[in-house]
Order: sequence, then structure tokens, then C-alpha cells
Amino acid sequence: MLKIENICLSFGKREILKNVSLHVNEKKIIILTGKSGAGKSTLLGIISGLMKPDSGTVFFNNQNIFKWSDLKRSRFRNRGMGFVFQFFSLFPEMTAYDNILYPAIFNPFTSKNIKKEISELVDFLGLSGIIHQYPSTLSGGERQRVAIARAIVNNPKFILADEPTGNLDNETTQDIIKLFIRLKTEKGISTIIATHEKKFVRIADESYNISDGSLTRIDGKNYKKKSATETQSHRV
Amino acid sequence: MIRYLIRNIKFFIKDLTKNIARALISSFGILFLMAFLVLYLSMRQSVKQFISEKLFGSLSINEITISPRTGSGRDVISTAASAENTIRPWAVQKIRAMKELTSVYTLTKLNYESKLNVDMLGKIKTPHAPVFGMDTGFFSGKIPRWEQFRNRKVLPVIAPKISLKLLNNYAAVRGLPQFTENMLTGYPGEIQIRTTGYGTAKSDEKKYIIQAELHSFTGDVDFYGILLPNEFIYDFVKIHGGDNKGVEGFSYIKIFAKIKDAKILPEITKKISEMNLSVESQSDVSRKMNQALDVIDGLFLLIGMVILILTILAIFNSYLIIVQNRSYGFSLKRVIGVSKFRIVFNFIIEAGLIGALYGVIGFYAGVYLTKYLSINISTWIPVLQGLIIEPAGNDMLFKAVMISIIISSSAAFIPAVFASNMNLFKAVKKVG
Ligand SMILES: Nc1ncnc2c1ncn2[C@@H]1O[C@H](COP(=O)(O)OP(=O)(O)O)[C@@H](O)[C@H]1O
Ligand SMILES: [Mg+2]
Repeated sequence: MLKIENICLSFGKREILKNVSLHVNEKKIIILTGKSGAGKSTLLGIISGLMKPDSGTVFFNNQNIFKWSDLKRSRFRNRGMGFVFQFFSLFPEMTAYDNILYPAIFNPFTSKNIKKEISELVDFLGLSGIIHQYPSTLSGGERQRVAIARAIVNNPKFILADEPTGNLDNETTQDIIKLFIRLKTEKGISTIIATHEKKFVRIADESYNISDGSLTRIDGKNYKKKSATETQSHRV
Repeated sequence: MIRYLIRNIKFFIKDLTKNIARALISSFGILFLMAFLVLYLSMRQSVKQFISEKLFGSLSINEITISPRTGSGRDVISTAASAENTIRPWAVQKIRAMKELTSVYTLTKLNYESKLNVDMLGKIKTPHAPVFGMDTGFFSGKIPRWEQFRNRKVLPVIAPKISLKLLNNYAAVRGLPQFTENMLTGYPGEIQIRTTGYGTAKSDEKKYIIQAELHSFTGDVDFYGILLPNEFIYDFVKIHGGDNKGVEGFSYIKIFAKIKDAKILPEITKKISEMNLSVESQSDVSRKMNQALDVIDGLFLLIGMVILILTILAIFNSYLIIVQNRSYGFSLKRVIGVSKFRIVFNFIIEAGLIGALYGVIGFYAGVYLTKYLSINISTWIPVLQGLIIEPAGNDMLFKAVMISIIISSSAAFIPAVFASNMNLFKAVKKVG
């Protein structure tokens, strides 16, 4: 579904990403680990099409997203994927409900039953009681669940999650992790989670580490390092 | 699709209502700009018309005035006549003989000491009043009953308009009612003319008393004294000139004429200039006036441009601040899949709506200001008495709104592009 190929990116003289390649298939949870400042967020930015790499490209269903117009890339972000961030995920001046509805506004294919769909989604995520509150009155876990609801309202193929549990306590973190697993099994949505917490690795279908700009696969708990290109040949 | 549009418009309006207050404050300057524009356009036309009417409304383009080219720059109107500051009789004859000219009228000055005897508000006054002469025909169409301005038993006198003003000032100071031209028509008086010079012994003095009455006032000739028919001047000098052989009885001081064909004006001017006289034509005056108006126009334009630039800068600046403040929202929108075009478009529509609103308000403010000005302007600037400023009409409203929309949305354009380039991946870096 997603093919990230030979991405290179430097800020000034600093090389952030060096020849990074990664394939993402349906129904997978992929973990990107790495120290703070390693380039995880930058890679997610490139996958979303919001940042352009110096070289290399991203294919979605075998189409080069950087050859698209801004409009087409915007549609891709709107319908092809969803986002969850550590902070700043919601519009503070909108209720939780309007936040969830927002991406559907820009989607001409939104069905007329959108209200019903959202209420199902709200039940699915256990948000029924708080839907008409503003983000500032919600707890961290509730906010993240609202953000996830918004991320999937247009039925995307995958979610990009940047430190989604960064400022949540342990219990809430477990809830959110379970949620990503349910999204995978019940809705077939893949998730790419960027995190500096190693504990995610155990729920991942594939785990990678970014360090010094290079992406390396981590196999389970063995931390056996292989180059990303090798991993690809394994998968074929 | 329709549902999609309705949903979008609903959300746009929701968005707008949240941001409108701040945006309204930041674009406030447009209001002044539009009010100024309306005021300026209303005033420009009226002032132009007023000036041209005031300056030469009664004169036509082919009229010329010929005056002595006084080396000293001193006008014979206020000083004694001499060969230098009068037009010599031979020159008058030559000018009268010119086939290219019609309606040649001469302004003359009697070179004897003269006084008026008038009963002014109960007191007999005998002010000095130099006597000037003018041809009857000159006033044709310029003043009522002009045909009666002839040498008659009771001599008709034309006074300068300024004297009516002086009289009214005098009356106002004493708490008396104001005089009108009609009230004073036919007002009797005597003119005293002494033909003999200052050194003459009392017994040899020759003094003549002439019965006179006020005929009218004029602003068409400039002179300081009283104006009598030339017929009288010529007769009087013919009869009494012998009293004092030392002075010329009268002098020509100005000639008014019309050129049959305005195209030959340069030739005529040259011919007359050779007689050491100066020629002023209305086309000269009108050219000068147009130049003056151009300067006024340019000045207004400059002020307008400065205000325009300041307004655009102010709006631009406050939109930039708005973009900064809303940068989080804009970048989040980008992440959720709102296109750059749409962000710019919404922003500009927002700015355009605000522009339209201020355009309407500014227009009415301008109209109100114009009305207020046109009522009060003559009390502030007395010269402008009689200036009627027509407020702009409703076709101007449309233009004002359009201009205002264009200004507002173009000032918002660059900030909008900035907004569309907001990137949460950069924003997160800044904040986090
Ligand atoms: N817009 C930018 N300009 C310059 N440097 C940047 C920019 N964005 C990120 N960086 C740098 O790139 C590096 C990688 O950042 P990031 O991808 O956010 O790391 P991570 O998410 O792994 O913590 C960091 O050192 C950061 O300072
Ligand atoms: Mg990061």
C-alpha cells in the first residue's frame, strides 16, 4: 500500500534521514523508535506529503505522491490517512463532536448518514458522554480518543501517530495501545507509530529504529539488527 | 454534492463568526480610506467647477485684456497717471483700428481730484473717490439696465462690489441691517471735481458739482473709486480741460476686447506687445487655473496614495499577526487535508466580506462627511461661500464597495499564502 523509497533529507548540513526505505502493508502496526531528534516526526511528515524529501519518494498504491498537485495530496491526507499527535491534536474552539466531523466536511464522499456513523464511532471509542464538550475540559486520554475518532472518520487506510501516548499515564497508554490493535483487527487500518518508548515494540508487527539517519529493523526482543533493504528482501 | 456545499458553507460561516471580531478590528483603516475617497471624489468635481465659475464664469475664451506694461509694477488704478503706466492715445487708436478685434472697450481714469458727497447713515461724508470711465457697451449683458449707463442729467454711477461689502461691514458694526444691491440702486449723491491743481489760489479754484445716483455694482472691472460713463469723461475734459493745461484730463488705463478668431491670439499678442503693452487672455488664465487644479489633484492623489499604502500595510500587518495567532489551526487544517488553495480562498473571502462591509460603512461615512463639510465649509473658509458640494451618488457606492473588497483581499493575500504554508511538523518544533 505505502512504499517509502530511498528518502534523504538534510536540514542545512545535518543529514536527518539517509536513504530510508520502508514498505507498509494493510492491517499492520509499525513502530518507529529512536531517540528524540532522531527524525521520526520528519519521516511521518514526509509520508503525509507535508514535507518534501531532498531525494527519494513515497508511493501510495503505486503512485508517486510528490508528483501529485497540492489538491490531490490534500485529498490523500483527508481520505487516505488519519493523524494523531502527542499535543495539539484538536481545534480548541470546536466541540469534540465538531472536531470529529471536521475532516468529513472536506470530503465530498461523506455519506448522508454521517451523524449515525459518528455516533457509532463515538460508541466504539467510548466517548458518548463527552461529545459536546470542548477539548480544554477533556482529560488527556479522552482527547487522544477524540483525535483517533477524527483520524478515522473518513475511513482511512492508515494512521500516522506521532508520540500518541507521550503525555499519558501508564493505564491510559495501555487503553490507547489496545485501541490501535482493535482498529487493525476490526477495521483493517494500519498504524505507523513514532515513539521513543520501547514498550510499543511488543505489539508491533514490524519495528524499526532510526539512528544517525538510518532505519534499521528490530526483530522482536532480540534487537537483532538488519538493514532495511534486507528486511524487504525477506518479505518478498 | 449539494449537501457537501451546504456543509462547507455552514462551517465557513461558523469559522467566520469566530474570527470576525479580530479581523474587523484589523481592517478598520479601510473605513477611513473609503470615507476619504468618497469625500475627495465629491469635492474634486465641485471645487473644480466652483473655481472655474468664480474665476471666469462670465468671461469667454476669446476675451483679452490689454494693460500698460508698468516697469515699476505700480498700477495706475491706485496711483497717479503717468505716461509710463497708461496706454497712450495713439496706441488706443491703433488697437481700435485692428480688424481682428471687436468690442473694444476702454477703461479710463480722470486725472483731477474728485470727492463724493453722500449722506451715509445720517452723516454727510465726503470721501476721496477717483473717477474712472467705462464704455456703456461693455456692461451689455453683465448688469441689469446697462443701457441707462450713459451721460445723463443725474449721472449714473457704478461702484465696485467691494464697496457694498465695506458698507455692510460698517452697518454690521453699528448693529444696522444689511443692504442689498437693490436697496441702494438710485441712492443719490454728488460728485465734486476740482480741475485746478493744489498750488492754485482759493479764488482761482475751479470746482464742479455733479448730481449723481447709484446705478449698480460690478465685479467685472477692477478699480478703486467710482465708475462713470466714458461719454461723460470725454465731454467733461472737452469743456473744462482748459482750466488746467498742466495735466492731461484723462488717461486710458486698460482695454477690454474680443478676438474674432481665438486661433490668432499669439499673433495679436505679439503685435500688441510691440506697443509696450501686456496682453492677458482667458485662455492664459484658464491654462494657469488648470495647472493649479492639477497641483490640487496631485496633492489629493498623493495624500490618497499615502493613506492607501498605510491602510494596506496596517491590514497586511494585522493579518500577519492573525495568521501567527491562528498558525496552529492552519497547520492542523493542512494535516487534516485542507488544500492550500482552499485556505487562501477562505481567507480572501473572509477579507473580502470585511472589505465589503467597511466599503458600505465608509461610503456612508464619506457621504455624511461631505454633507457636513458642504454646510460648514463657507464658515471656515469664507472665500468658498456659495460652494455646493454634491455628495457622491449611489453608483459610487458600488465602486466604493468594489475598491474596498479589492484592497482588503489583496492586503490579505500574502498572509493567506503564509497561512497555507503552515506546517504542523514545523509548528510542533516551535511550540514543543
Ligand atoms: N524545519 C526544520 N528545520 C530545521 N531542523 C529541523 C526542522 N524540523 C526538524 N528539524 C530537526 O531535525 C531533527 C529531527 O527532528 P524530528 O523528526 O522531530 O525528531 P523526532 O521526532 O525523532 O524527535 C531534529 O534535530 C530537529 O531539530
Ligand atoms: Mg517527534
